[in-house]
Amino acid sequence: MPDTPKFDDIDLMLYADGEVDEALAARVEAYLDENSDARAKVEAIRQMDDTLRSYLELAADDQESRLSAMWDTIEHNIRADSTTARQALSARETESAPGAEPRSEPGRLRDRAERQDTDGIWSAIGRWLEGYRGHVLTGAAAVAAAALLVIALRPSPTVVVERGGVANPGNPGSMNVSSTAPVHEPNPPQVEHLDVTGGSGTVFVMPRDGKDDVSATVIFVDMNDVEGPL
Amino acid sequence: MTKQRSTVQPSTTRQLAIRRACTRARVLAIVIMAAAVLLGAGATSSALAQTANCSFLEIEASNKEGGIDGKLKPLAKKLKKPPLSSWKSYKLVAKHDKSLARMKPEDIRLTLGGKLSALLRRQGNSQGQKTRFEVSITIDNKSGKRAVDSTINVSSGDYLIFAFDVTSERGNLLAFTCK
Repeated sequence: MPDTPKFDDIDLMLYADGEVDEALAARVEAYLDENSDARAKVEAIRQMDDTLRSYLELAADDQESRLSAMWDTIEHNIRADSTTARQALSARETESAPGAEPRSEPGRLRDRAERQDTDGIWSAIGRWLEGYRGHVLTGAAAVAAAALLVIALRPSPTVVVERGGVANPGNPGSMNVSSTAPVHEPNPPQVEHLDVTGGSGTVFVMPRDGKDDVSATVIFVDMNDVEGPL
Repeated sequence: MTKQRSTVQPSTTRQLAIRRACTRARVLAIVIMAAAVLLGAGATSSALAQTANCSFLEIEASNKEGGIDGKLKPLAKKLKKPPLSSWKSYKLVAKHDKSLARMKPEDIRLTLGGKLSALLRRQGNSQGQKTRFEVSITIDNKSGKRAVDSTINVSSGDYLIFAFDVTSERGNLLAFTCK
């Protein structure tokens, strides 16, 4: 039986994103030529990628304009406060007689600034979030979209179980667990790899029979007249 | 005075530009951290669990009278069904309980002869399913020659059974399960 490479959804996603090397890409392309389902998956991944990219770019552009407008407002307010403070300081210094007021206006301004600095980290975070809520929401939307993409593209928990093994003619000692009658079972024991030195193996899957039962897979090892292992 | 104005009331365009850049960097960092937490949660939870408690059962099957050993109750239903129902009695010869640490091989000297080596490669959960264990099992015969080299994926509580020296009259079974 020829050793046909198989690629899972993660491999296909890496290929669609251009994150595989040339050799692996060539193998994936050969696989895609033979497998229409995989071709459809790759096409779907690319379309989803385009859609997501377009959405995020539009969202980023939208937030950019809002942020610029907000910064203009903040800058305007800061300049206005600065001008008012300078005017108040100037007026106070003009009005005050020598020795009349030991606590000057610059001192009070400094106190106010220190109070703002030590107002509490939680209120600072609250103000920060309030100011940049749009960006945070955009980020959250992007994360949710990425999580949905990962969940949608990950392999299904249902696996195909192979009943009955056949000897590999190219290597008498090993056995392919490929099969004549695939059956869908929820996670029975699965033989990923089986090598029987000088013999062969036959795999039987015994599915769960009711909730209180267990699944079992039996491997009959035939040593072909060679001394058995046990 | 100059220092106070620079930290509290930035009045120059350069300072504002620096603040904007810092803010954008903070937002980007939060987004990246949130994504890493979401996408890495599954991997982290599976990576934390590093051991599996596995039992290896040596069973003698034959056509003698005697039925199924009471200690094999979890497997009883399976032993009564084909292809295992071709034998009439099953006796537990030995049971080896081993705690397998990830990527650390454990050797078991078998009572029926030979040696078994088990290696837990990985384990993990998916969508509320039972824990799944990937275990490599090698079995050497009495003279130390490698007889079987295998890698098995098994869910918690399920069984993988090797049947050796099988004739219509008797057979030696080696079953293992992990939790």
